[in-house]
Amino acid sequence: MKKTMVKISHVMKVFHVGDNVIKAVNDLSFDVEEGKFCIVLGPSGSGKTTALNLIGGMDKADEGELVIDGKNLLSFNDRQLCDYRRNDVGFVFQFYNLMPNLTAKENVELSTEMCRDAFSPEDILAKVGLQERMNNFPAQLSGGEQQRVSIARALAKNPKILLCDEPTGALDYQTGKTILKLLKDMSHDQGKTIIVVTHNSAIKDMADEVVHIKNGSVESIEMNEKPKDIEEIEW
Amino acid sequence: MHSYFLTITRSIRTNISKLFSIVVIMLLGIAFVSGLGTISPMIQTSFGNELRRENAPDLILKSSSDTGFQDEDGDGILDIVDDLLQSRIATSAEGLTMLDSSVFESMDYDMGFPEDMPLTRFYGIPDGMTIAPISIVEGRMPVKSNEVVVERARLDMVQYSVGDTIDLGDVFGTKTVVGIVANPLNFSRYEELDLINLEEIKQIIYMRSQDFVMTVEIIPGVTLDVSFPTTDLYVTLRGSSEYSYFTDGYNDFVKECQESIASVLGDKYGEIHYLTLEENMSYAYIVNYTGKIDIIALLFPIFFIAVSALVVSTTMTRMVEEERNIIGCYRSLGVPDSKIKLKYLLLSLICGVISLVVGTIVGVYSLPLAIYPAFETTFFCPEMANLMNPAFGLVCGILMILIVLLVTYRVVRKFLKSSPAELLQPLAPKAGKKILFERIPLWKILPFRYKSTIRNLCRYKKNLIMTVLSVAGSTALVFCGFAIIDVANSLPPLDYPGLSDTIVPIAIIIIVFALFLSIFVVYNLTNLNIGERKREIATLMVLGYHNKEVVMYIYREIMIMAGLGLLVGLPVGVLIMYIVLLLLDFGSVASILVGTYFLTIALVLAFILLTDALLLRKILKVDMSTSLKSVD
Repeated sequence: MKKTMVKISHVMKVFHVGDNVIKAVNDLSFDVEEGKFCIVLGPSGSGKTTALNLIGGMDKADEGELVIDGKNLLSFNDRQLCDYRRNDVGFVFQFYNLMPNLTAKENVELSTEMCRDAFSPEDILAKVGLQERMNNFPAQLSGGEQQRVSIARALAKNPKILLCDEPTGALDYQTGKTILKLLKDMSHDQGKTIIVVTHNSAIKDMADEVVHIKNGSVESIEMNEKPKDIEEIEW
Repeated sequence: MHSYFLTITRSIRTNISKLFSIVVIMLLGIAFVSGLGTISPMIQTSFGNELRRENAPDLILKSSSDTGFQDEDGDGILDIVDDLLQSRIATSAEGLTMLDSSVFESMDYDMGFPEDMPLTRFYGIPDGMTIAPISIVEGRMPVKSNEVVVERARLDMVQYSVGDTIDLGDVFGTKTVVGIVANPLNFSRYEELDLINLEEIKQIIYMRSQDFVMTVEIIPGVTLDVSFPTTDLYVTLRGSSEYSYFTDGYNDFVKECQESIASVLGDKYGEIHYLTLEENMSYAYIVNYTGKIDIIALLFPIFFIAVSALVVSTTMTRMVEEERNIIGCYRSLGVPDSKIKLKYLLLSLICGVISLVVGTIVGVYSLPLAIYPAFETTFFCPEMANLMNPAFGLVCGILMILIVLLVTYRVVRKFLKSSPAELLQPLAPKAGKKILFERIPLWKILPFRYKSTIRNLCRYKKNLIMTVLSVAGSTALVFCGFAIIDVANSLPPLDYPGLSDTIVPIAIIIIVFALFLSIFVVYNLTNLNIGERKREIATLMVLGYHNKEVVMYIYREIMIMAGLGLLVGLPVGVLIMYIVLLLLDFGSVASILVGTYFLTIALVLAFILLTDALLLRKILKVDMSTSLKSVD
């Protein structure tokens, strides 16, 4: 029995927009085991991104229990949340969010220079296939290449979990596939726990665990004993 | 149409902080200019009104003949007055006697004034004078022959109280002071100069004409009363009230009349000197001071306006750029270009008009109130005239509005040239690139965060130039303010009495306004910087950068730009001072204290830090998830 890396139980998150109260996440519960590849599926506005933000320590839940590697995020103050993001979480976004004034290598250094057990930026960039483009600025890279840099930046700090929010959302079909493959390979190689949030249900077969979210709570959870290879999936 | 206005009011609401700082920056400039422009006219009008109230003579005819204006029959003055009135030059003329004690000494009378008597001016005044009559400040007018009144003491003059006696030696005997008076023609607090040696008069004593008599002992035991000739004829000119004092029109008019009078009087009364108000010491001080103030009022606004226009234009450009998808939306919906332009021109115009109205009112009312009391140290000030001279402010304000409108127009036009599709797409972030700096070996050992800072500085060159210029402008103005005080303090007090006292408060106002300007300039530019870089800030936060590190990421740049601004601003300030002093025709930049340079740096830095502290929250409030998720 592997240990539980992410344990979410009865989490609530409410937003106030003007006079309206929006329950973005409402009694959400699911677990992810260490080293597993988890896909959170749901339509727009289902609360999946909010859930990811809560897991990543970008936002604080109102109620419930959110335990990452044994630490309850709800008890953290802002400073502790910041350190948690710094040391334990890697983020990959739909829109890469690279610093435009830094080269690929420098963007990776941006996250490694303040981490405890970071990998060498050169090595990790070579692993994502960018050894030739290390000194290029984001504007000189294609979308797929930029996303590779952002994956390298997330992995270089050797995080406990990797959180990806629609990582292929801005990429074409083929590039999207390569990026997903890269994510999966990296997680398997390094034994990282990965949570990918997406509305693309076609890719669910590649995950170890699929969490369906609707209106802020879990609709169903599927476990794939034999996840498919990304090459076998078409959409 | 309704939704069109709705987008305007919405734009105002979403950009309220930017619009607010635009208004404040323009307002500061306009208030400063209109206020400074009001000071001179206000002072001239205040003193002019007082001269008018006191019926000041436009001309003083001074006779240097032994008989003065009085012939043997004693009716010479009347003849002159008749001549003047018949030739329709003057409305009235009154004669009085003025003598300085130095005249007696130069005349070598055997019996004189007491040895220790300070330099004294005597006036013999006729009863019921109407032209610039002396007025009682304390006590009463003399009614007996042994009574005199003295003029209120100025800086180094002898102080008398009612009841004191003055020993005037063998010439006039001992007199009792029964009153202290004010002479409307002597309203400067500096001493008048005597006619012979041009030394400072230490006391001015007034007697009745009939008592202005010298007792001379011809032979022991036999005395003779000798009266003095009427030396001065005060003349008010017909039609002079149509002109304002201190103006060229008035001066020219008086000169013209003076020539007519000279032709009427001819050589009938011996040699006559014609004194206009321009030869009056107090009047000349006012002319001199207001002239200098006008130079300052004309020169400094140029820099104020330049800095304000620069910052306002940057902000407006930025605002239009941020609304590029709104513009794209309008265009895709088929809103005519003219209407889109109108929206932004209208926004600029609203800001401009608010600044113009509020700035002019604030400046025109507040600055004279702040400056006028300073004149009390140099002049016996009359009531402050309720005068406004919004002309300066209006001209500068309209100029600023035009500049801002032009900039807005050009930015909007640039956007209207691109297709709606282009506009609806997000603006690609400016690409990073290698910079010249990276070729220097030092680059390699530079800490990582400094590399990023330096690259950013080079990446946003426009931002860099704007910030450096704005900070430099404010710094230069603050420096000039302090430097003026230094120079004023270094002036020899004898040559420039009172001028420093008057200029110091103006310098302080320059400093205060420049510091305010620097606050808003830095606030505004930092605000724009933060808005532009929300995504980068959010990225750093997500990567787990601590608050301090995130804040420093933005502030490091600001501080470097501010430092450059200071470095540029100080020499510019010295240059401005050099020009100012050249035009003011006094002092030198060498008398600027070393401390002033440091004080300027310290103050400007302190204000920049203060401003940045105000914006701390704005950086830390950046919402990670929304900034990263959206495409901006």
